[in-house]
Amino acid sequence: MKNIRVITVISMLLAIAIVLNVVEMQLSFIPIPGAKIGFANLVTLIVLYIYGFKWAFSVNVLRVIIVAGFFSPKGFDYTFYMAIAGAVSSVCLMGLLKQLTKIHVVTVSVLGAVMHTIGQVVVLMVSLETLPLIFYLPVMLVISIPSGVLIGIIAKRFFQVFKEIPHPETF
Amino acid sequence: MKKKDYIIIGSLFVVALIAFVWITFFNQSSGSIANVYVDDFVVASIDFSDDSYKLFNQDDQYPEVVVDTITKLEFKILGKYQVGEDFDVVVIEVDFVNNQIRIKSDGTPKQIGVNRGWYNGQGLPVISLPNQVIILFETETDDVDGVV
Repeated sequence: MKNIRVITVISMLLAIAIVLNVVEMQLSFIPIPGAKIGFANLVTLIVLYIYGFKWAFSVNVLRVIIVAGFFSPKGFDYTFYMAIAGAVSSVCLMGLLKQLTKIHVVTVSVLGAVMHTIGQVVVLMVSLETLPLIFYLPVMLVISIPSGVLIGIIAKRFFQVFKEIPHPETF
Repeated sequence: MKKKDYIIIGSLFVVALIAFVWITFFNQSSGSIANVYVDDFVVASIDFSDDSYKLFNQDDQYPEVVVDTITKLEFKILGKYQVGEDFDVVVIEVDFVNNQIRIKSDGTPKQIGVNRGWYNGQGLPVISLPNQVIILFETETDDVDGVV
């Protein structure tokens, strides 16, 4: 029964991640093309710290697939491959850092955001076979590092507020 | 947060910022030939050293030259972005006076390639992802054999 409870909570968190992602797709308040805050990563980070890597990986990959399938105007095109590459690489790095090191959640979030950007740009470079696209990497990183800090701070606040509520021990 | 965390985040940000500033202000491409790529194929090659240009056929109609004077060249190419059945028409404008090139207009939703503005080899290359149009300054026209 405990497992059903976990699956239910994870499903709701996945729904939240999808909504955050879709809402963010409509906003473009950052003047740099293609840059986003990455609010969906907040859910990934929270799931990673409460339920562990396995669930965080599932939430992140499922979110990208569902958003591409249902909400993206063009479906599974190059943006999907960029998104899935960024999502997988960032959640893997964050999982490793959380498991192997003692660094703070904000730093984990920042490094996850950096890895997300690198994964995206590498996939773009390989798929378009154009090396000069690497010039876009620093521009994206200058945006993604502050947004990683922001997401990390929100996640830390979340953990403080919900510290009293018992979390199921999995993973 | 500990001191270690501040050092990691701070140093990453500084490195990214330095690279960003260097690319934006100091990275001058060495080539004088602007190649316009669509989906990895060169469709137009503009040589600013002698103000000449070469177009490589995409189909019977495109690339289509609209304006061709001594100081200015304007032509239409087909992008990869589709609205219904039709591919998007991308208008490229070349300025031979200041040796620069831009995407004048296209039909993409976010207009990122258009808003990039004039490109003379300095800073970020022009790229329109939905159309898979990339404009790069290079020393020579490569991959001519690859044009179908």
